[in-house]
Amino acid sequence: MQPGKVAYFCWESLHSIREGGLSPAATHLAEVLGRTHEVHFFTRGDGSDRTIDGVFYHFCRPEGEGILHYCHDMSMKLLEKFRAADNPPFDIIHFHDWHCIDALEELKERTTVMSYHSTEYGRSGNNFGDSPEFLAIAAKEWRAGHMARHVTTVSNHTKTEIMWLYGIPERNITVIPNGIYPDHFFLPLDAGSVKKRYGIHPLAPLVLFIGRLVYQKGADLLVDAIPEVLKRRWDVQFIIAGKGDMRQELEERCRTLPVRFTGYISDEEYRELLNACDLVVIPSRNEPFGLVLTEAWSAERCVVATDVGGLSENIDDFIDGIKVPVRADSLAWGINYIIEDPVRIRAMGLAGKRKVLSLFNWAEIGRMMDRVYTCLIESNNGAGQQKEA
Amino acid sequence: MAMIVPGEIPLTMGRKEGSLFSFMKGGVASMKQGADTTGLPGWPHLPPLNTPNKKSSLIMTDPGCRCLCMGLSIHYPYYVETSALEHEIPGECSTCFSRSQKTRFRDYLSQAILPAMDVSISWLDAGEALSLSVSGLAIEQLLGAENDAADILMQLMQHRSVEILGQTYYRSVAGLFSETDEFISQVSRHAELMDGLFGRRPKIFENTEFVFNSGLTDAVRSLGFSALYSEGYETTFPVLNQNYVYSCHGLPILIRNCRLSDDIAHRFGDATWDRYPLSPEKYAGWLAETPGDCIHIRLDAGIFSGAACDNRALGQFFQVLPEALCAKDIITVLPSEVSRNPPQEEIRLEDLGLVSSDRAYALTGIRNIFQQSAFWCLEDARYLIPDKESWRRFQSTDHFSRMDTISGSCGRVAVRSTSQEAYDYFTAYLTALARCEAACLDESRCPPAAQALRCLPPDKAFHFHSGHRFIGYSAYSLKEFSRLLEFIPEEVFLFHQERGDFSRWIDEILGDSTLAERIKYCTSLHEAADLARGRGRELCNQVK
Repeated sequence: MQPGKVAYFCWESLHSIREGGLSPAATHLAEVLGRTHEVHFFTRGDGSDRTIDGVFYHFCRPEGEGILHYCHDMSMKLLEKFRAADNPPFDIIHFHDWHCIDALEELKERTTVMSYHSTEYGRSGNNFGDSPEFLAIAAKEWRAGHMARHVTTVSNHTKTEIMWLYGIPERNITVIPNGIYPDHFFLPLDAGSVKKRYGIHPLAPLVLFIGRLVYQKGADLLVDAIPEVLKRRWDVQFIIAGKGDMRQELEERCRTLPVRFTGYISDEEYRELLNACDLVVIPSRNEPFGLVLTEAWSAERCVVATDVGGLSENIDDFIDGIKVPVRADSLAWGINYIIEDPVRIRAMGLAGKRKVLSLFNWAEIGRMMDRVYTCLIESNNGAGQQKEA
Repeated sequence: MAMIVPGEIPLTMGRKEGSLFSFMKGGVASMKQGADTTGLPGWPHLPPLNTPNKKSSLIMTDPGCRCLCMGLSIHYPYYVETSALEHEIPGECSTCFSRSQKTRFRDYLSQAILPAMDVSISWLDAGEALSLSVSGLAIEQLLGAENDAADILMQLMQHRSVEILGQTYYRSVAGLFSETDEFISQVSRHAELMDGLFGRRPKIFENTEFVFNSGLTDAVRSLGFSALYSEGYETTFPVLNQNYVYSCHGLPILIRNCRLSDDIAHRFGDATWDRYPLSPEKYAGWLAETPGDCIHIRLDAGIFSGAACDNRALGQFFQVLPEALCAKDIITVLPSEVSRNPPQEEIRLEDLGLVSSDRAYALTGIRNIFQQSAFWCLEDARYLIPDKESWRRFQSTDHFSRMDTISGSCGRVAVRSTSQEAYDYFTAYLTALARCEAACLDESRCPPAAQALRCLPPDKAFHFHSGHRFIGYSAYSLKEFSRLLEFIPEEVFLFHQERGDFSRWIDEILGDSTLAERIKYCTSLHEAADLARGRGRELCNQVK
């Protein structure tokens, strides 16, 4: 697309409030596109609106009881900011996930793109909830897919999911994976000294889980797998990093197991742990893309992951990772299988690094998204000319 | 093929004027064919991850090797006696080693060493060159054998197309000790043995496993060696191409090609291998397609006794291989000739990730907690076992390999065992070491200090517990105790301290009432660690 003006609506970013994998995905994409376009990022956060890494950030501080009211308030406040910046008008308005959909309702006549980074069904661990929140969010996701001029998903799995969940036509969907900056996650270090800081023997194999401790991410499956792993390798140690509703219950269950719960960890701690561990486990029940996978590969780590969603699509089994069914005993098998062989574990980590460098670099992902914008603008122009004729 | 003797044939292959032209003609094709050289089914052939400089980027454009360096290793350690009980204190340390050592060696001799030597002789008769590395322990036992093995060895080692490589006499882990004097003494002893027996002093040093760091490289150079043999999987050191000469601190480094070595050592007899059977022609084809200056294949004699290997088939393979090499214009040379090639570049240890001790260990056979405990006990035993011969027999890497569930790569026999088997050998090793130390107690300069510093078998070790579970670490000596105190979780320390476990163990098991009394009053982990470390040093000075 010719240099134009692009608006991003996303409830999180790396420069304000960060919840999960959505913030790096949206932030980095905006930065890459910001090299050729004028990109404005409308999000939550404190402080004055300002330009960061070539992207103009507009912040608001939403209020409201419950997630639905909160997001409605956020959408309206961001919409206000958007209107103030909409001169000259934005060429593309890009929404990431459902949180700002009330703003999309107001802007549905414009050229809009909706990106599904996950679905409410997936976040519930492949379950249909019956809570008012679930129903309202699912309804918003359904409407968003039909209102937006075009839809993108982070994997074929999510594409299929929104096709059967919300009936979104395939011709309107493009799959664009998340990118990664491998250098942000690779850190040559003395793994032994990092392990020691966590009370772990330098030569004890360390298995890392990183993610929200919620049903979708399957930390409970890993906890169930640990006794099985220890039956064959008693010296394996585990770190479960992240916070979430399940933490207390999981900690109770791990009282007699070699597991350390770190809670929330900073980016620096995460980078150190990622590079000090021997294996990364991703036991998700549903994973639209699986950012941890590309982060682990960036640090040349081998992964054992469940055979779901983006993990299933992106891992070449036994080449750059091990895929297992969503079961605790299968996870244990995968961990035991690979932890025995340090040479192979390293080979798989390196194969992952190569994949990251070739397939998930942000420059290429940015070009893919740019092509989507170009098609939309061209079809707009075509439609305009037809009207004039 | 012409007979090759050191210095006779100038080496002119490798990075020469024709490289670019060759790339245009068939470089891409040879890269594609290179993918077939992968050893493990389903593994892609991977180019180096980072190309450190412009020179390295030429690696992929090379037409393929025309030079092969073939080597054979012969070694047999003294295994420890696994059936002895800890309280049976022997009269002398030597009885801590296997009672059936002679029988076991005799079997190994007939199943592995003699067939390997037969193959070597026919290889040399075909006019090929061969490098041999034979450990001091193997030579000792060969000389004591009843058959004519010693004569055959003598004939081999004095052959003009053979180059003898240097190593540690005991093929030991001495290179990992914090001080290099033991390493230097073992390497010198081996060199003197080679000089005395065969009239040849080794010029190239072959390390034990992958012991490779700047201190060791300097020590090897100071001993007069002109190059160092190392090993590396492209997965372990992706920045290196194994088929070129590198240098480290100015010393040429030759790297054995693990994948191509293991094609013979591990996969030759494996009918499930997707490239089975391996014919000499096929193998020579792979060599010819592999880019580089020279490919270093090193094999251990043990592969001839491997369960998966048919000795006769392997013998036939080596009989036909010279012809196949000739057909591909590949010549065999000796390591000292290759070491004269200009090095590709200076290896920076930080590029290899060898700046940290744990990573260096992990590549050398000290990979797990058992091995680490055993290694620490072994290093500390230096002043507790006056019988140096026995102490050095405990240093052989084979002991450490058997404490792991997977061992043997780069031309050595692959062994897989269960965690229980690894633990059993670890227990037997520590028991033997403890018995040996107990046997020497009276000879010590300070028996009470030696008693406190000695290593302990598992039933007497200190097993750290959190109150809910065993946390996975045990101290098998006072020194290991102080090292573990550096990082165990605070709650574990408090749990034991409140119960008086530390003091009781130090008093009753180690017999050091001074430390037992003082550690009672420690309120923090650091204080206890400092105290134990200081006391360890104090006791060490008493026994030195």
